[in-house]
Amino acid sequence: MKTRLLIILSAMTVIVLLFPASGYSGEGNKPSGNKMSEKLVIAHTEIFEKPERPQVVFDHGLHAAAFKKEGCGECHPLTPEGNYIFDFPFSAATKTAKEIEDLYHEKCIGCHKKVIKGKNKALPVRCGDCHVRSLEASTIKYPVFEFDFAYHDKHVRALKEKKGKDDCGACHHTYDTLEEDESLRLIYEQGTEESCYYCHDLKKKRGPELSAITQAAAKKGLSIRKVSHQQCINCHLGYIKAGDKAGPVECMKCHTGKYRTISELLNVHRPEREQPKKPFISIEDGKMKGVSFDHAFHEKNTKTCRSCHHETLQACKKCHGMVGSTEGKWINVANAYHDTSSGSGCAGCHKKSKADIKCAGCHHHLPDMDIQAKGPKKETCTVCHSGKKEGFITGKRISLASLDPKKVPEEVTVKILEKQYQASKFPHMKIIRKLAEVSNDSKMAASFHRTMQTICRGCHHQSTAEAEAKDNKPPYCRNCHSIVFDTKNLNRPRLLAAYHRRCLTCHEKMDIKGKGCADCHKEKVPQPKDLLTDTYNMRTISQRGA
Amino acid sequence: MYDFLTSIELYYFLKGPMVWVAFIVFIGGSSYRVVSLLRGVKKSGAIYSYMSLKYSLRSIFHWIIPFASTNMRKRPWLTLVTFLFHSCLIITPVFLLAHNMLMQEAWHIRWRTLHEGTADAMTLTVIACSIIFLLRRLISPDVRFVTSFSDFVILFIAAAPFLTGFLAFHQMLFDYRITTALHILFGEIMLMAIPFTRLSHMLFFWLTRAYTGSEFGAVRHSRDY
Repeated sequence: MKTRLLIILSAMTVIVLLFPASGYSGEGNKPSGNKMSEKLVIAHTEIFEKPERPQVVFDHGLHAAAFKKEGCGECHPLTPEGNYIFDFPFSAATKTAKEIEDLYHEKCIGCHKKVIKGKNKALPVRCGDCHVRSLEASTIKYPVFEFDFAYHDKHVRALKEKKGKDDCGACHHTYDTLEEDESLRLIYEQGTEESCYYCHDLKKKRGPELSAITQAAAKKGLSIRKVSHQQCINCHLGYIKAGDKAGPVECMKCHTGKYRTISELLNVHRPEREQPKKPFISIEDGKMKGVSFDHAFHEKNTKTCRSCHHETLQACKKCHGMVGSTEGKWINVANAYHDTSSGSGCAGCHKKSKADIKCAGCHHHLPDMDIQAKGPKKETCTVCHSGKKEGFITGKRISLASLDPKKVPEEVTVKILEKQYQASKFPHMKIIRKLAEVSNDSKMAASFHRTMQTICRGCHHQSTAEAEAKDNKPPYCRNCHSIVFDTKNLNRPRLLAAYHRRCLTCHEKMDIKGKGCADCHKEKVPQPKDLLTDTYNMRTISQRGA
Repeated sequence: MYDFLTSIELYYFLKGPMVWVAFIVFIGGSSYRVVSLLRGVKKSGAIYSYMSLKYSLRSIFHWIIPFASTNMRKRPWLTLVTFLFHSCLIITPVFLLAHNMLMQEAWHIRWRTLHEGTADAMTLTVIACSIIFLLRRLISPDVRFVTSFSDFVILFIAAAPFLTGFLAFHQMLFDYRITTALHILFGEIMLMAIPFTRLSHMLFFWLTRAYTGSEFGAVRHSRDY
């Protein structure tokens, strides 16, 4: 009995040893290095939710190369207009889980079998050949393709060259929800061209007008991903078929992961849609004076029109009225421009820019724009709300020539707090020169820092120009910040804190060297300890004596 | 060896001609065994005289329902393991998604299938029950006394398709292609072994129960359950 058991066990051992525990790696499916470039994950989680078998990592590039002669039609169905549908292969009408499952198996395995019969014997036909367990949790993500102004301009020029005239309708269209005949709803109207994202970015919550269109798009599953592939690749394929010069159809030719910066796009022609160069923004019944807005300048300083025009290319006031309404998501026009938390409005976008390392030294402690309290300074409002139609003053450089060296010293020695450390020598003019240089280097900063006083207020935040103008009344920090703690003004730091907070935070925000104690004030040479009077000990001694 | 075991040719051979061979041997062998048994019974002449449909069905009914016979109630744990083992062993392969996909691929026939997780649990049940049976044969003195080497082989034949199926499904331990090939091979071996080994109790269970039930009911006027 024992002998037989031994035989069984040794037979099992032989079997185990005979087949090395290699574990199927799913060769040819594993995303590795640049091979991943053309791979896709097929899981259809929108239908299967949680697939029973591992997702399929599909090498699209390999298949596209294999069917180069036959074309995309080998797998992808056509729309009635003759365009390929790229989101789901084989059949456009297939929707149920069982249909999808059967179709994939039938088509993929069927084709693989045919090829196996011919030459290539390594094609997957077994369940685990495609449903590879080790790739169950792998994700393949392509970098988003950014159709920036350079690509747009390239397309505008290429289409003009091919068609002999502007052909914006090749890509742009609009959806007329009021048209009864559904087949006539998709129309192109010159002058209404807008970003694809407005209607096809289905993840964003839209206002009432646009959401009527996005709902229709969502119903048809026309996500930005789907329509981009359908529109771009079909158009490119059409030109390839005609033997004409055409754009790419391979994944990695568009999804490069490389993006142009604003400065790289600076000289690229912006889309022409008869937009005003320098509109005068004036709100009817508005309390404030109008703003002369340099639209052309802002166009050059953004990567997309959507950066500001988040839902439509029309003027902000079209949706955002004096009082809130459904069209403007209950955001009135004042908030639309001044909300510092919004990326689309003026104040919000400028706040982001002010967080730049060069600006943060002063701006980190300046309060955000507050239109209710007209803060931080009333004078700030008039920079934009000038009421002058001739245009916003942009790029006027600040000059240091007007500074009186008697009133504005080259160096300031801060002695008042001298104790453990020596007096601090503060390079006053060096800092002014640097801040003026930073301001003059930026068109935006130069536009808002109109006078030298604006720069001064980076540190002298509460002093007024009138006070400064008076002789022998320098804007000392100690004018407000007393040496001892002011118990009646709890939010006002004492002088020691005021200096350290202002100087050190600026150094930190602007990443300036010299944050150590001795960098500003040298330590005093310590005297021998024995010579120091210990008041405590003296007292106790005297008390004892008494 | 590795290339051969992972080759598509072996896979095609095992899931093509070998399936036909296995089913022909299984069906042909089973028919032969049943027919020859019935012929033998007929020759002896005595048994047919008291065969009763009523008592046959009564006996079968009481032995295919868990705990419906005294013997089963006496050994509740063994009864539980036995029923779990047999039901999972039969239901799992028939209603397995992967097997149905192969039928779909070959003949466009497919029926309702088990959820893969359920099938996985049922496979593990078969494997666990097989281990219990193995241990029972090794440890229990009275079972060990009636155990021969062939019993271990039969147990292995029954458990091997499930063990390899489990490994193939999870693509673990060995190359998935090898475990798949072995899984199909062991499945075919099991089918072919049914008529010619003690696995034939699948065929003869019904006949032996009918005979015993009839004898106990019609001759001894007592219960066999």
